[in-house]
Amino acid sequence: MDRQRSLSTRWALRYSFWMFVVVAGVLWLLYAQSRAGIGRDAQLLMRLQASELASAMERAADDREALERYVSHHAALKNRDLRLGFRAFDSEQRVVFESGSLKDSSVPVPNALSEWQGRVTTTEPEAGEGYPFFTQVLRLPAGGWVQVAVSAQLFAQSQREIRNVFLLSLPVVLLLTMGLGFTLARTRLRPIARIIESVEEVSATQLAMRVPESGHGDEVDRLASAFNAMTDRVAAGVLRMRRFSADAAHELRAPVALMRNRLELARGSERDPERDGRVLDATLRDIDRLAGTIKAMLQLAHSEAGLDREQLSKVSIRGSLEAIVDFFEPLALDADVGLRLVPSDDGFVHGDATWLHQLFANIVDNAIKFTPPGGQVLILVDPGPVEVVVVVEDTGVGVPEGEADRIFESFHRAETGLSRKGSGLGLPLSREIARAHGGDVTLGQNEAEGSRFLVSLPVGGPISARAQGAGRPLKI
Amino acid sequence: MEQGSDTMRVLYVEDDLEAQSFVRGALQEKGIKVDVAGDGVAGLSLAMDGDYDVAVLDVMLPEISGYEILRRMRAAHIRTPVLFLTARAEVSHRIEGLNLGADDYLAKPFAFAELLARIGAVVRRHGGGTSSAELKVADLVLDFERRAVFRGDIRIELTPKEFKLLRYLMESAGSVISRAMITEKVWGYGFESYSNAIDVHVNHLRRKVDRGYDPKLIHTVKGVGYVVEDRSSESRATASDS
Repeated sequence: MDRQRSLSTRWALRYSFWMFVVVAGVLWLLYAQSRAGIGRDAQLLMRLQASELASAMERAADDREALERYVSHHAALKNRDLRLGFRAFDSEQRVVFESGSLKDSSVPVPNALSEWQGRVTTTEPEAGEGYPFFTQVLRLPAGGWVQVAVSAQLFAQSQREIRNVFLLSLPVVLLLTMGLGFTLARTRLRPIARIIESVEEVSATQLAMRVPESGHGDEVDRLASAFNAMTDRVAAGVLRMRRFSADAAHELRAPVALMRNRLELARGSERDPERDGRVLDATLRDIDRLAGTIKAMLQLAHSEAGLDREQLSKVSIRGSLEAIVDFFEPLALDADVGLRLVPSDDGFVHGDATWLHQLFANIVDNAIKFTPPGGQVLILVDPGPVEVVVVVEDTGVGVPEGEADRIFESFHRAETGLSRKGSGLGLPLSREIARAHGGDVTLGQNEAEGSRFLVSLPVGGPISARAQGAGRPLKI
Repeated sequence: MEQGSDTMRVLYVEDDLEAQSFVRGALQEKGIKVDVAGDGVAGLSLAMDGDYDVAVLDVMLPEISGYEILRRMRAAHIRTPVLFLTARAEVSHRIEGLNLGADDYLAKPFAFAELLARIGAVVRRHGGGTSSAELKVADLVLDFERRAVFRGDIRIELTPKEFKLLRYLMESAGSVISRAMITEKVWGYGFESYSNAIDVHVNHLRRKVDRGYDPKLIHTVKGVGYVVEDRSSESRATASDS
């Protein structure tokens, strides 16, 4: 939850920051642009005034009074705040007259008019006035010069206003972009937040929870469907485990109840050394069987946890099967079952020799057990380039239709009446071992009679099928 | 195991008090002198200065693990044979223990008889096995060089596995050998207790070695395994406890 919040905050801040930078940058550009515009306005204004004065001087010719009248009239018309001022020079650069703000003012008389010609000069601010003047000098076509000055006050004011607008808008922009950022981030993260909500609902007992899938095929949708697929797998696993523990408890309860009753009965009756001995022997036998079941359960747990990479080596499948035939031969002989390894090339698999041995031993043991006297168990090795297939065929009772998958379930025993020996964990263990090696054990097409087990093992071993991390066995 | 004259001394390190008293009792009942330590540190110090015939160590111990005790013993050149007891039965752990130089390995839960059989085997092996060219029990002779077995003058044909099985039983003649020990020694660690395969193997062997001969030499010890011995002259007292 914290992580999600911080992610949304981080995204919001990032969005806000970049939006703010962009908007503030645009505003600053506008501000700079308008500043420059104000400067150009001042220049334009002064040039206009200067040329008007020039034409007025031409019209007035030498009539200074008319000129002064015009100028004062003209200046009076102007905005007071503008503080327009004129100075006229004759061709010898002598001041002919001054008016407005240039009359007795601190704006200096340029000593080289040609140097000032045509450009706006900003004077030092007048003492007490606080504002500088913009001033410009123009040469008259008829000879002589005019100087025009305006106070910078107005322009400064409008510049300040623009700047104020700019500065004032910054916090507003900041707030807006942050709001937008947070909204964006939250919108972006909403599907993830929904997934989180769904995931929080999931528990070991409530695995049916589904994350909504949008179907857009984007990353979030893929996350959702990957999550749903994972939940399905976990749910299947939990279901299997639940069934396994229920079955295991049932499996262990029956013999424990039997032992208890037997001991109770013996305890309650007179001591009889011979009968007591029988009771104790039977109890010991039951305990050994229980210990065997528990051991098989542990093995199953270990095989499900994956292989120990340190134990992997190149295993000769034929060699393993030869040892198994050697081991089970007397048993088969006693049961009057033929046990034969059909000659073929050897196949090699990268795997755990002990586990593979166990895998085959379980299947062969099972085949002998369910084959009636006079029958046959045949073992074939088919070494392919990609995988080695081992086929174990028997002429036994076979597996009834519909039981094909159930025989690989823990504690399942075919109700054939032939034999109820064993832990009921042999075939599940074989399948787990094969799967840990990246292969599988399946029940082949049922022939006329008997069953046919197929063990397929990839030559490359578990590396091709299992992730590196799954390599360590479970410690129990 | 009949070591009546010079008593066998066993160091037993186990932190579970109940298991401790059970096993100690069972060993003492057999006339074995037992020193018990409840944790790795005490166990190690006993192992370091004691002169034991065998050390029986639990793997999971407080302070110092059984493996570590073995490692330090071997580093200090103490050659006392070591038998591990553990709840962790996986083969890889078994191999880890044996790689460290343990002599045997027994997974819990175990039968006392199994433990006694294994202690006996470990001590016997450590005492130096027979280096003679043949093994002999009554008139049963196993000749290593010719890989031949005779009952009196009659040669008995055995399969390679039957020969190996008989040899193992005869090497420990007079001592009980458990089914699990036979499985491990004769077939290797890959086989767990499958059905009654070991019994069937022994029966086949028995058919060839004992049927039609006297005295019978291969005996079943109820609940544990088998023993090869000539019982014709002695009392039959030893076989009853299991």
